[in-house]
Amino acid sequence: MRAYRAELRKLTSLPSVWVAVAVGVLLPAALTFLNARAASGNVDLGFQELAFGVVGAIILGVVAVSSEYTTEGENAGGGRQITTSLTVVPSRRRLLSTKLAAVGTVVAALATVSSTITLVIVEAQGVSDFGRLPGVVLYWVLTALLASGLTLLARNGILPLTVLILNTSVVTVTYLLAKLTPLAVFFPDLAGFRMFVERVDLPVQLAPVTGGLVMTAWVAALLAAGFLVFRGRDA
Amino acid sequence: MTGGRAIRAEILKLLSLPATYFTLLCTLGVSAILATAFSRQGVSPAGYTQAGFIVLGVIAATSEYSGGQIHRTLTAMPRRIALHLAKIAALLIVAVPAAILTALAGGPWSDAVGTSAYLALTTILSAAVATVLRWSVPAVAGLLGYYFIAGPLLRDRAPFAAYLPDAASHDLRALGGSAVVLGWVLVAVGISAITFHRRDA
Repeated sequence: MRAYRAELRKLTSLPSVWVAVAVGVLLPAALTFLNARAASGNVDLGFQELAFGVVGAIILGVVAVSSEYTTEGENAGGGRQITTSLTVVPSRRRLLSTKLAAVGTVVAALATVSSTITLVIVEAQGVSDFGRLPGVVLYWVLTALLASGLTLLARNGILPLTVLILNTSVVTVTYLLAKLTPLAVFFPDLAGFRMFVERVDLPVQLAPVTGGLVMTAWVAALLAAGFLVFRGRDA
Repeated sequence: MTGGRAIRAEILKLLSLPATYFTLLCTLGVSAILATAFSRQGVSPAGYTQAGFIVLGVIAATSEYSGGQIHRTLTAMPRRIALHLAKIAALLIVAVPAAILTALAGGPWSDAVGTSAYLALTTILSAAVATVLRWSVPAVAGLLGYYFIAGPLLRDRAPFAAYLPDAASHDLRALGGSAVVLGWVLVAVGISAITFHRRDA
């Protein structure tokens, strides 16, 4: 519990995290506001915009891990915060699980706030489906954990950020791949979309629960790989 | 220390970073793969491969700030404006051939001039932004967030988007787009040079 509180404090003391929170709240809300006038009868209004807002969760998930290894800045301690962390919490399993729990908590709160604001904006235009809100929250949390897992494997934030932000763009790489092979619908992001977006222009349709399970499987596999690497290597 | 030696030192620094090669090889590989895979769909990979050049610019600028290398650099070369311009020149010398290769690997050869000019200029713009920010992760997140999320969304909505630095990326044949990017690059390098000159390293 104390380790978990420490991880929460580490997260909330990072300026990048607050930028990520601002992006995660403002981007989908502003986009929904702009799109609301032109989108009469779009059942996914608000939800598509929340799919962009996940970039806030991505930054948060990356920074949570990369900040342990960063070597830049005046007082980064030579980039060895991880040494300090492991001195205080020697069990790598506990360190990683508390860190991921902290990321999950913060992102779940962020996603709940952000999607509520966005859906209230949609509500002003017509009817919005608050029943899909848990899907958004789960998608954001899983994406953030995926980002943390990738960062743990790479030990720096640039590579995971590049891959994941490219894949949040207007035309995602995975969506392009889906035009080549129907197997691409099982990529974590395309599978996860199903949890809250109804109309998906993809070759294979998955039920929301199936999509969520596919994405969870990806995240679990990545985190397991990340943990094994983290446990086996010198910090 | 003369300008030529400063540029040579900067090139040495850039080419001794493993990250430089990793970024360039990934960019070239992804570019070739996308071009082969989507030749029939008419998708230009330049829109995606610019990510590699953005990262290259960020790495070139922020590598100075990991482990305090900037202090050694400034001891050897105290003239900051000249140092900054030497770094930009070195980055151009590395980025232009890479951009030409990527453009040839990734697209119709008729667009190669526009594509390579755009990619090289985007690298410099990213380096200028990263010099001001000094941290690689925020620089990468901000730049990629702009180029891949905010930029494309603005493009459909705002008439002024034609004058933003990413406007050329989806109409590479128009050299007007590259001129717009060049304008942004000059402004950004001006700002980064002044910042670098006035700020405590």
